[in-house]
Amino acid sequence: MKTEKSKTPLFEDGIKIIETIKKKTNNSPDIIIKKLTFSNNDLYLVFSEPLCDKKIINEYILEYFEESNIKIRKNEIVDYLNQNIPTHKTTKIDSFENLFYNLLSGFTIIIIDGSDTAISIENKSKLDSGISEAKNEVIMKGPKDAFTENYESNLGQIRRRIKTENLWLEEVVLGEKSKTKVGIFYIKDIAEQALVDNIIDKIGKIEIDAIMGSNYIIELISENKRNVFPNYLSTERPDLVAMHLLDGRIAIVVENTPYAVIIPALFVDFFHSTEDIYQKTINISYTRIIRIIALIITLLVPPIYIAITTYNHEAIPESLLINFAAQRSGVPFPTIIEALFMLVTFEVLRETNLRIPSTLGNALSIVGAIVLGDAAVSAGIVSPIMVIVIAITAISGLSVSSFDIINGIRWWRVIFIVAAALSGLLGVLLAGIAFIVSLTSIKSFGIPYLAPIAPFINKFHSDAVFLTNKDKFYHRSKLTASKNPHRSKGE
Amino acid sequence: MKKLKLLIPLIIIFFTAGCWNYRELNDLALVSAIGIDEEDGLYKVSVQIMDPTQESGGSNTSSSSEATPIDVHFGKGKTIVEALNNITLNQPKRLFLGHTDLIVISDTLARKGIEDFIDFLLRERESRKIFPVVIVKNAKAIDVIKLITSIEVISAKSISSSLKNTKNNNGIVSDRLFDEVSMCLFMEGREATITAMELIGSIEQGEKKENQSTSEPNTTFLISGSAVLIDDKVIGYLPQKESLGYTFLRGLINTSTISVPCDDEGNYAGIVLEKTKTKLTTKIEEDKPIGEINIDIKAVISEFNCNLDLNKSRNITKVEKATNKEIEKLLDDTINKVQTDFKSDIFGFGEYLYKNNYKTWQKYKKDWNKLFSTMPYKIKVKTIIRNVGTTIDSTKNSYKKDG
Repeated sequence: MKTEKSKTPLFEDGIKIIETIKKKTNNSPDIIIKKLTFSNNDLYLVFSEPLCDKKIINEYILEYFEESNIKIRKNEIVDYLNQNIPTHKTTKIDSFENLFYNLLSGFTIIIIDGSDTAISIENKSKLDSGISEAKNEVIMKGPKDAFTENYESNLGQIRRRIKTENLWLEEVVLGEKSKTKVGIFYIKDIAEQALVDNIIDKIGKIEIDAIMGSNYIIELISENKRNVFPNYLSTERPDLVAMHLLDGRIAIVVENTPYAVIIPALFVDFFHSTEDIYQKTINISYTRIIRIIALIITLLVPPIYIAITTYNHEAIPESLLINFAAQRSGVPFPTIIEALFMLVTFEVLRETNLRIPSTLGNALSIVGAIVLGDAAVSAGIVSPIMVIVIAITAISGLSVSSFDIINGIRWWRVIFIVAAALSGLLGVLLAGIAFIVSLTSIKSFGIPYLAPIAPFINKFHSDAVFLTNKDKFYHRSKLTASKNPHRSKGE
Repeated sequence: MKKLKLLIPLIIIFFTAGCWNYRELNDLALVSAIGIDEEDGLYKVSVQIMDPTQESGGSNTSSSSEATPIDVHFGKGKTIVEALNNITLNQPKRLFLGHTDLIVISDTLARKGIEDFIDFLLRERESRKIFPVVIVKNAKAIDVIKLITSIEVISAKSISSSLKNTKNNNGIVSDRLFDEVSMCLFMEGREATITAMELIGSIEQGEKKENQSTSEPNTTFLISGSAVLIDDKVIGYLPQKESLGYTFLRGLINTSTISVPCDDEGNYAGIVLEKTKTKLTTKIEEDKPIGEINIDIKAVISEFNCNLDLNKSRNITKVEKATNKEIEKLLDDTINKVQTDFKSDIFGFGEYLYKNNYKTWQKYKKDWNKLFSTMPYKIKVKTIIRNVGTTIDSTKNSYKKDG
């Protein structure tokens, strides 16, 4: 931690400490300082009003000092209080940096006049909205709880699912100004130690003034900065995190972020859903194939349509070609302009829909239906078939639940469309090669992104595209969990 | 900088290679059939263009019911290409041959030789080489191109799918697509045949849309057999029956039906031939070729009107023998007719020699067709009836028994 380097020790004089606090916080009105007397000694209670639970201060701390009339020696007060204050967690503080960190994290600080050690008492008030249902990763069966902004509660939700002592947590505080807690979870006897060390090391080296969310950390430690495809899974579901921890992956939980991040993530992971754990395995394989087909459709339907209507007319049955020709006959623009127009309109609508307050949603969907629908056709701007092409593309694009990968695929869709417009099916082929080259060249924290498909690892297809039955589902992924490769006693 | 250096050639490749073949769909005239006639010593090439707005009635078009689903345009020239190019003079779009379904050649031109435009079609890179080629016997090619047919409005599609169905279920026409015809022309030992067709009814009425609106069309086409060629010139036509014999001898039958007399009272049995295997060989004996044809047939009785009890296997054998005899007669007639009328080895007796006995072939190749016309041959047909359908006895027989 950066803060450890330059520590300023506390003064012995309590009044001097209080003056320093007042000076550094510019007499901030939310910082309350109360003077008490204990065993003939002056004590100062310092806490931040909005962050602390006033009930605890009133009922336990203030009452305790009022009622106790024990006499002890001056130099023993710190130890005595540290042990005897009726609260679950007390820590000793000996530097100003620590003092401010604790004070602004919601601790109550007791400064003892004449001692260079202060005591902090944990009495944070609950500032989050409590555990609520997952809103973005909705599933039918399975638990409904989701991560919240509260760091401790998030840790608890993971701990609750994996009760082994081998679930280890490394905690670092990042951000010069924000002092955000970052927890790195991994299961000691499954995860690769080298990967864990590497990631902890990288995270420890981060120098930034504030961490606003988990993606800050990923962007700072990832080697895959330029590629549009994500090498991390971000999820609001603790059960998904638990599942991946059991596969030897590493979860990063960041204070104030209702999302945990799982690394390393592979390409196939984005076609898995949390739902998959709770459904019949044989049906999940079908669903996953549908998801992959949807990916191919959303990527390839517009470029192939453009290619066959502007270059490769011989590649489709003639009755279909006549249909296309009939529908195109009234449209004044080239097919590529038509396609880009519709695509941009759809993307704008989607973006608007995400940001718009839900009360305006109805109005938007009416307007959207007009722009992307029959009215656009009768206005002669687009052909009906193009509406269908873009609609299929849009629907298929939404079937892959991960937002991160869809955002990446949007780039590639445009590349494919431009390639198709420049040289037809040949262009689509070239763009396809580029797409695959780009995917295979990614390494997700040292692991080939397309594994276990390329390189093909037969053994680990038990949970790649097809999900085998649970009784045959022995293997963890070799790539992330080689030292403890079997889930059950089988094999 | 290094990446930029890599990117520049990539962009150049895209833009230099790109767009060379760019054609917007609305700028194309989709040609469904090409007709080739001769007029004043020039080729007269007519094209049947599918009118998409009439064909499918897209939602944003106002299709009037009077308009025909096809447009026909023609151009003239000393070569096929020139003629096709001249078509641009009287219609607005660029011709696209990628979906051509049919090539029609007039009889008069076919008798003068088809080599010239085979060359054009072989060189032309847009069209697929799998469309059928037909010769129209009693009309000009443009008349077939103009024809409006009833069930399938575009006559090119109508004719080509009719040919396909005939090939699969009837056997009068065999697999005579463009690639097959052009292969025959380059092949030694076998002359080509091309499917022949006729127009029935008034030619003028066939061009109008009314032809489609009556239940029995005034004008229609009829697949009438095969044209026999020597080198690249048509010398005559085989009628439907002999055309079926030809398909038998070439071993190209998929399924066919034959009516066999099965008793003395003039009743017939309908036999469906399901699997046919033809073996055609040529031997040289005493410096003269002898043809030998062996045909194995697996058949099914699908209609039976005779006074025979099919429960007895003896009677089945009888039907088998009658079938053998009937087919032998058909083949004999066919070979005889070709030998006397055309003197053209369309069956491939010479091809057998060319493939199996090249040295002998070199000796006889010069006047093979002459040798073929007097060549003796043996025909042996062996039929096995595997199935008699869902009833055993003929209806006639069981009716008598009950009465």
